[in-house]
Amino acid sequence: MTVHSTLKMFGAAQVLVTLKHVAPGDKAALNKAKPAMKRVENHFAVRETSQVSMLAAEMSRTCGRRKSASAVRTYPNLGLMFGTVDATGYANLRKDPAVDSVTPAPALSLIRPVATLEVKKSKGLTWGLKRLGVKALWDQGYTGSGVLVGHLDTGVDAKHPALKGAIDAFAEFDMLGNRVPGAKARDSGRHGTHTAGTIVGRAVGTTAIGVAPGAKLASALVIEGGDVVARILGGMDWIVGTGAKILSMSLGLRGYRDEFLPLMQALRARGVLPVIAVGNEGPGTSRSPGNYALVLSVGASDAADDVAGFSSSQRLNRPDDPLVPDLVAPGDGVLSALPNGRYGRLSGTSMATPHIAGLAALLWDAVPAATMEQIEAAIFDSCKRPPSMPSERANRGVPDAKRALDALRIAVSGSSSLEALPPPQVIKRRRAARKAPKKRSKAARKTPKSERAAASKAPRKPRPRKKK
Amino acid sequence: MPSDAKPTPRPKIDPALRLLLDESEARASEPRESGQEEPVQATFTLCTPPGQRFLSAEDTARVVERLIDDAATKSDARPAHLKVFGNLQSFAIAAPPALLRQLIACEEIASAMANKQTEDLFIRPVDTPPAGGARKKQ
Repeated sequence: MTVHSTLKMFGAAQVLVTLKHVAPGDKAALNKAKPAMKRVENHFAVRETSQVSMLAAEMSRTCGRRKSASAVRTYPNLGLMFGTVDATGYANLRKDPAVDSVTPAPALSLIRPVATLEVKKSKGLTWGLKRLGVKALWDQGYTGSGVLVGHLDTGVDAKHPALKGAIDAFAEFDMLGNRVPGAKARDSGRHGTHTAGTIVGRAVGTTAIGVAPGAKLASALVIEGGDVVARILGGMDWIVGTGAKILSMSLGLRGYRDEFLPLMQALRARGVLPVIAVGNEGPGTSRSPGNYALVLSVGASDAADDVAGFSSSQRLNRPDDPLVPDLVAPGDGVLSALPNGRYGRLSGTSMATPHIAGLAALLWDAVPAATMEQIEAAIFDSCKRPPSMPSERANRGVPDAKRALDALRIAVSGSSSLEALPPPQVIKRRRAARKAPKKRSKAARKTPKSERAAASKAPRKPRPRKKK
Repeated sequence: MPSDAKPTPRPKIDPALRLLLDESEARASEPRESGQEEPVQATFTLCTPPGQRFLSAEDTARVVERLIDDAATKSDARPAHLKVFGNLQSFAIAAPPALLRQLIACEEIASAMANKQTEDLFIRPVDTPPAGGARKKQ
């Protein structure tokens, strides 16, 4: 991507600037060039989403060092600067006499070590289940029963004690998108078993890992190598055919790529809610389709209620839903199932995504008549962002199961009285409230009746919503 | 005269697919080669017709068959493999570049991608130090 196209898409771009007249190791020349360097530094935009700013913030948090956020890193001995610019800054850099060249920052990516912390299963609920408050819904009898969740991943170990009876259907696809005949449920890695455990894992003894332990999974093995599109399409096509209402997927191409857009439109048009991981490359990055306005895009939070450092986030240059991810969910050190009956912790936005897919399943169990849009809006409405999470990183924040169900009930009962009713205790409370004489507030008593009537008819404050 | 009709949206074509087509054609034109274009694997998604929410599986199959017949006639080439994804209004195809270029030019095509991507689409888990010092016990 050129700097121009990146600026057009995101409104900001990371660039590498080569300075003029700085001879390596020449201290006198370096001192002479310092005022010019300061001037060039001013062309960079200070953005809290820049990777430099994020690294500074992380350093401050983890090492206790105080380091002010900066949008540029200068390497005087190399005569180089690296940072984030907006369109004005880019134009100024190109005009600056001290600048020799401005090029897009090289798109290097770290080959990350992938380590699994294998652990013995521990008692109780995982921190992720507690953070989302799913027990409040379980206690009301909603466990995702009757809801089928689509799962595109490395497959699943259906024999895992936590997944026994949870896999409704399994399919495997070849490189050209054909279903492999007679394929039995298996995991080509461990990722799929882990994410499946987070969505539908049944309690084993007192250990609970699954958000929706009553739901079932339609799982397709499509990731082995992870670079074949027809295989993924084969899996998606099959999942639509199973009648799944939700698709949980941790796949995406780096940056903004619009080739998946018609596919996500096709999924939504068929009533399937795409819940997609945003990526693990940190701030100022995202992946497609996880960065589309059409999907429910998920970032990762950690047990300390911060946004996980690896969790992608990005502001896109579009009027609708410009910030991704839509929300964050537990995705750091998540305990779940691993193949061959084991348990382990993994980290990633892929671990956060199945939490939200499971939450959607719980809500659909509670209100089967809810539409995909109502489920999505209820999850958004339930989000709260703790002060430790910057809005540019966490967007709406972390959802809460009970608040989401309350919001969904209000939305559904408002749209049709024939659809799912609230629980009996709520109905009783409402009846009691109707019988009791209304107390008008002081302000209301002063407000003329005509104004009160107008206010009641006025639309609610608009909130950012997904395109249908 | 200005038209009120909405312009047809530009199909979204994967740059990797264009590159594959160029490379395959260049190889076929080399003197040592037989002149036969080797099949290129691609996936296509169809546009949703105006006024409809989506194309049914039957309509998808019908449109795909028509598009491929037309493209085959114009390019004088046949597909080596075809798989239609009826629930997604999409299909995967392996065919000579000339046929794929004909398909890309069709107004019914919403997007096209190279089947084999140079990048791993899998969002792999990461190894992170415990948050806020010691990891909380679960």
